[in-house]
Amino acid sequence: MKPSLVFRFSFAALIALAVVGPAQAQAPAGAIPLSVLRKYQEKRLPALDALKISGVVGENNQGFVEVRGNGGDSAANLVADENHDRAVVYTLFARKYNMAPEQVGLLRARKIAEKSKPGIWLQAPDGTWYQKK
Amino acid sequence: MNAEIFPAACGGVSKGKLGRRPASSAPVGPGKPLGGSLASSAGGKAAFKCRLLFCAAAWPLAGCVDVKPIEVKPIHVIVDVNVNVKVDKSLDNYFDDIDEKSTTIAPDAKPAAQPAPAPVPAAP
Repeated sequence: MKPSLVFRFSFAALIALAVVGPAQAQAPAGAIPLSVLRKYQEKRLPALDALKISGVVGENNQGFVEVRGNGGDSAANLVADENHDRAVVYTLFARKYNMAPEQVGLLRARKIAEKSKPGIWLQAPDGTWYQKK
Repeated sequence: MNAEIFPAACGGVSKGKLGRRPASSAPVGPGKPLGGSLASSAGGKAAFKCRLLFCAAAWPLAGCVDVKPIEVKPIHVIVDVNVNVKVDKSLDNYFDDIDEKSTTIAPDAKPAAQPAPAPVPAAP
């Protein structure tokens, strides 16, 4: 007995979902709306600010945060989450303006360096770290 | 112009005289008479036609000689700057709310108000 056409199609669709599904789940940009991302970032802002004030975390010259001292796993996880969200934002703007996400990150890094308050650790364009005065 | 580029092919005819048949039978080409004597020989006629055809075929190519490259660099720079400004604005729009709530980032510095000019002392 031959399998029906519908059965064949549904089987092929199941296989396609199994293959493509995980790949789509990993796609960062465009999957989460910006408003949701902003809420995530605002939620982790107090903890991130505390780490930045204590000097454990600094702002690097690519528009991302970086663990500088010994902050433990919690600091590393927080930084990883924040950097993931920032990367999504940079990628979205890069797509919008047809440029590389790294360039958007550089622009944001420059702005952060300008606006950061004294005492925050920043990375200069040449890679050296300094505390803003 | 073709006459200058291919003097031998066009029989040394200058630019202004190209396409015109000379009124006199004075020799125009290098040692070859044009006019009655040319018409008399079938070979000379064919050679003249060949020269004319060559000149006519080469004439449109004259426009392709002096093509200067277009300078586009300044336009490129302006576009890049404009894009950076747009991206900066978009980033500000997105991050302004977050930056305002942050304790490590100062709000945008607004231009300070100009102090009132000091009153001019009255002359004694």
